[in-house]
Amino acid sequence: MLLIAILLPFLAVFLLPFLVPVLQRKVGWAVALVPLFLFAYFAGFIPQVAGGEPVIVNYQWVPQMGIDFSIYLDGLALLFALLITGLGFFVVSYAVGYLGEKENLGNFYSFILLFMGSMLGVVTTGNLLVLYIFWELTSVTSFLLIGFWFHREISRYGALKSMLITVFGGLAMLAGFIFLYLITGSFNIRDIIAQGSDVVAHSYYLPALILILLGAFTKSAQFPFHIWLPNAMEAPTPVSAYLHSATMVKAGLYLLARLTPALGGTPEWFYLVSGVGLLTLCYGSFMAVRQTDLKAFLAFSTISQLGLITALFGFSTKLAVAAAAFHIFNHATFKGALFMVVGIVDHETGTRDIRSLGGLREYMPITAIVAGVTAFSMAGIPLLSGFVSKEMFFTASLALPMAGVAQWLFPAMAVLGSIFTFMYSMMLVFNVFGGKSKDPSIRPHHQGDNWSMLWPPVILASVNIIIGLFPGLVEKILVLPAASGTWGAPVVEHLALWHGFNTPLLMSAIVILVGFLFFRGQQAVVSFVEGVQNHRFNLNVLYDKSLVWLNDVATWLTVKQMTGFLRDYLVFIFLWFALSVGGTLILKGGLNLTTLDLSPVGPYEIALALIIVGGALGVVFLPTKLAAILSLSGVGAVVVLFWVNLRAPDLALTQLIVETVSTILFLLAFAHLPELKKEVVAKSQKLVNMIIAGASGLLITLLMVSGNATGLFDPIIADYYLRESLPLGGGHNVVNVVLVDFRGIDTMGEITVISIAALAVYSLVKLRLGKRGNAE
Amino acid sequence: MQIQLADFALMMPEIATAILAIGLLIVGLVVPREQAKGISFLTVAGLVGIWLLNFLYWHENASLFGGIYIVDPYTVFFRFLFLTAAIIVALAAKDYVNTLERNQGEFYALLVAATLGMMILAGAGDLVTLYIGLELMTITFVILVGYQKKEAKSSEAGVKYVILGAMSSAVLLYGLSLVFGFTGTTIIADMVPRLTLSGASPLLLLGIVFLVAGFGFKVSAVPFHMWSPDIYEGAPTPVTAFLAVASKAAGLAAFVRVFLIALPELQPYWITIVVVLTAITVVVGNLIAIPQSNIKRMLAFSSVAQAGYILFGLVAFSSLGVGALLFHSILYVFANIGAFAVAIVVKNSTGSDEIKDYSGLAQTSPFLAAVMLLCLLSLAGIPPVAGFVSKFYLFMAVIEKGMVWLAFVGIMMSMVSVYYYLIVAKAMYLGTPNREAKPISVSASTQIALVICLVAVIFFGVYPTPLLDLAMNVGYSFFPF
Repeated sequence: MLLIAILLPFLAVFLLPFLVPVLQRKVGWAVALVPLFLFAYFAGFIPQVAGGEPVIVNYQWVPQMGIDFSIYLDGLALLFALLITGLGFFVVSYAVGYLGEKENLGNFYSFILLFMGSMLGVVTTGNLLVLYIFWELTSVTSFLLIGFWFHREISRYGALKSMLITVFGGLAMLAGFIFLYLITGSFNIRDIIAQGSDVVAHSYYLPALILILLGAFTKSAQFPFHIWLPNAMEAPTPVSAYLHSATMVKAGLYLLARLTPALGGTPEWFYLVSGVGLLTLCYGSFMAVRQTDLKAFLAFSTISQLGLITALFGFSTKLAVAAAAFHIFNHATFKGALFMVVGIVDHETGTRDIRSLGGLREYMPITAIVAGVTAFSMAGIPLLSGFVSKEMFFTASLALPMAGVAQWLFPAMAVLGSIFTFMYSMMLVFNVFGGKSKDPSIRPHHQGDNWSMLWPPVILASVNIIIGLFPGLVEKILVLPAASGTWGAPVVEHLALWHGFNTPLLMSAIVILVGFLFFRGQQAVVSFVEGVQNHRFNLNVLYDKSLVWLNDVATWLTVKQMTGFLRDYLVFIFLWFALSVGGTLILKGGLNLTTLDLSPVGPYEIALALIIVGGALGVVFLPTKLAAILSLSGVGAVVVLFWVNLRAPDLALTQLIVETVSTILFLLAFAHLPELKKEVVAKSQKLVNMIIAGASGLLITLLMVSGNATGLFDPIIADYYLRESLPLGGGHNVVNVVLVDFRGIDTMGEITVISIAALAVYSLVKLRLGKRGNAE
Repeated sequence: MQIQLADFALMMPEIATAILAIGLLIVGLVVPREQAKGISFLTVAGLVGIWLLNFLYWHENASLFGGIYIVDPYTVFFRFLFLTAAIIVALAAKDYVNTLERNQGEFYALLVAATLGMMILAGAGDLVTLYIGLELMTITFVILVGYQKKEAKSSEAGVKYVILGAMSSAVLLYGLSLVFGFTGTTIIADMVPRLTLSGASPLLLLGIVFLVAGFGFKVSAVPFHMWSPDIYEGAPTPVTAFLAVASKAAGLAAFVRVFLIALPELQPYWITIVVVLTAITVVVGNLIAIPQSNIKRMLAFSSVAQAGYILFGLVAFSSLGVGALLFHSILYVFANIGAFAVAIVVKNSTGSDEIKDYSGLAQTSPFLAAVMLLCLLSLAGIPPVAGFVSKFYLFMAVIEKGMVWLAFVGIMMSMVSVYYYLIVAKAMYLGTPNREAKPISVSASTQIALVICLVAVIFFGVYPTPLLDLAMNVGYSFFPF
């Protein structure tokens, strides 16, 4: 049943082709039923799970690979499942108003449903490999949704960028999972957690940790992998709200939370995770200030908020984990609403440029209030839910488990990042909705709020107020079970609006005060940020350059190597031989050069050898075909002389016949071929070719000599034939006896083959002649 | 050596294949040209018959004729692989062959003869038999590659294949003779005891270097890969599909048997060179595939890279490695032939192999685009299609042996491969079709071939258990370490 619930979005996709033509634009309402139903279904598990009893279901899938389709629904998984389905409902409902009739609605809702199913798979599975499969599916669906308006070049660019970066991270994560498997012998998350102490002590711990963190950081857009998220904003706004703020980017956080009991608690974990998190928090909020596009604004804001949560998981204390769970919930509500508001602004005015917007509160008052509530919540202003979780963040940053420089640096970074967060939140509200319109030509198409799109953010904003006032509402049912699921043991913390006068409150006061000052002097701050971070060198340039570089290297390799000329191919092949054969010969001591078993070399042999060398050079350097062929046959003729000199007249005779025939064939065939082409080859390349050719020749010579010198089997086979050819074969000519007696059957076979070949040739010739006769 | 009649019974599939090849040749001569279409039916029926016959030999583990030929699960597995490939190719080739004016019967006869060569290569228990199988396969392919003799590209491919094929055979033969010289036997199974006596002499190691090179040519590993793109591009596409898949698998079968059964004692020596070969094959193959604009050349380089992945199984030197290698090889058959089959259809219809001409294929012929997409995803190893499982196993096999860096190279390069496979997907799905583009009609036999590939790629991705079990068992019985 639970399995069917998780797969329900996938099943629903199959119904879409039938529903879209009937319902048209209204099809979104039908689609929204899926997450609504699932939300209610998952909410039904709250009592059991909050009671500390996770739901576990097992299905066999690929037992050899250790893949079982097990479902593990504890507090952590449940929190995510509720967020995915709850926000899914709001986003789909919102999209009904957002998307026009002409958009490809079937594609849009199919992709959204596929994404929803994959995301549910990621958070509910109990098996790392299944998690990986769903993880990649979320990347693929994200790719499709970012590229939804695929006719726009910039959408395609953003889609590819997010896909490449997240798939890269996913593969790294897979490698990390394999390490975990090597340590624990299991892909089952609970088995791995049970062996947590072994994992941490293992020598593979660090590589596994780094690889898995790569997966989490790329997915959750942590510095320096955050660069894909701003480009992903090319997606339709509902998609940005859902995937790139509320859910998919939180998959990385989910992974961190899920593996905290197995990997967390070590200094490596602490410094890597919280260091990267805090850096991202500061960098993201710092960069957000200078954005001009509202969605880019929110993208950097999301990056920085994700950094905050990552840092909390890095702290890995009970309080921090509870704060993280709470902030995940809060962020999903206020950021989801903010995206929807921006979508409304874009939809109504046709622009998202912060420089030309202003005074919108007059046209859409409720929208302005929603924006104010949610942005204030994000800024951490008291009475709103964001304030409560930010207080917890400050408290956690003051109670770090590690001593040292982090004790004061990390709280300082937390405050710094929050100051900028406060500043851009104010800018978002007051620059867009407050003040006066900066560009009179830009105004909403009609007066009043667009309720068809506004009601989802209104509900989300009211959640911010209610939870801010009464955080106890979600404490027992969502936050603490999720924190316990992360921690691996029950976590008891109290969520409250008022903690008394203490250091965290002081930190909040500093944030609000300095943030307010910064907001007043925003021109100066923005120009300072722009001065620090310019366009010439940043990480995007690095990404673009590396793609270009990859292409260049590939092209260079291709041009160098795949020339289409056999000659060039042979250069590479011979080079390999020269290196591998030569290397083996020298490194393994294979050179066995002795002259003992060689025939004496006299002046006659030397002279013949010189002629052969000359002939071979002639083949290469002579200008015409004819001369080259003759030179080659000259080489053959000298070989004949060698046989004569070695007193082997029969061999010499055979060789002579072969040489003659082949020369004649050569001449006949070459007459039909074009003249030798003169090709201009660079001198350097000629030199390289010569060296490789020379090395190959030298190697073969050395090999021959060494091989001849290595007599392994005693007595050698030649002695046997010399001894036995007269008594067994009755002949003095050993070669003849070998051919007709010792290997008589072989010889007969050869003769048969040649006879058949001759017959075939004869019939071909006859056929050809016959045809000619007919033609005449 | 004793020749027993019973031994021939175990070679029935080979004998039947030989009879089929000769029979097709004769039928091709006798049957009038306008009825030549029936030959393809005959070929497929014959191959399916042999495929079924092969089931009888699952549990055999016999050494025939004093070790010259071996019928074990490994041989039987590869028989299935080659026959499957031959069946799908024969189905997909029908449209192409129908366009030929003459020699239709010979085409199929040669296809079957090449299959026979591969089967002998996989089952060979001694070096000479192995060489005969290799030559039967290679020479047959030379004719098939140059089949369109009036087309310059095809002829060029044929000539290149002759020269490089001859060279690779020579290299291999040189290596085989050195190994023979040191062990004094050509029977693969008898070599281990002799090698323990003679030890790792330098010249023997040289023999191994030559063997690596010779087999490297056959599986088109870098730097012996240059022949494959030129020849894949020039050859008729059905031949290319068969060459890329079955011929590679056959070379691999012999490679693995010689190195794991004859030379396991020398593993510390040959592992270095094989690892280097594997790593550069994966890297270079994937990199060069990126700038290709012709789909056949792109697939050629991707198959170079695939050879590298498959060699991971040999590098792992374990039963897990062999099992993963077998599993990946058979999935590679479906994915690659599927992709090539789409290329055949598109080429027959549009006359082009350029990737840009695949633009908007998803709108004009959604079925073809879907087959292509899923096959490419399988080659890239993206879940949930089949390639993911087998690639995962190959990586596991090398990681288990502590070669984490190699797995990393593999994973990094898989990422690169996603990039160039996506280029085709992008053209098919995000591109706009040519204005005159019409839905491409696909003949029934090609449709069967496409459906087989599609179903296999999806089914074994979602439920790999039975095939995986099988491959792992064969791997274990072949190399139980």
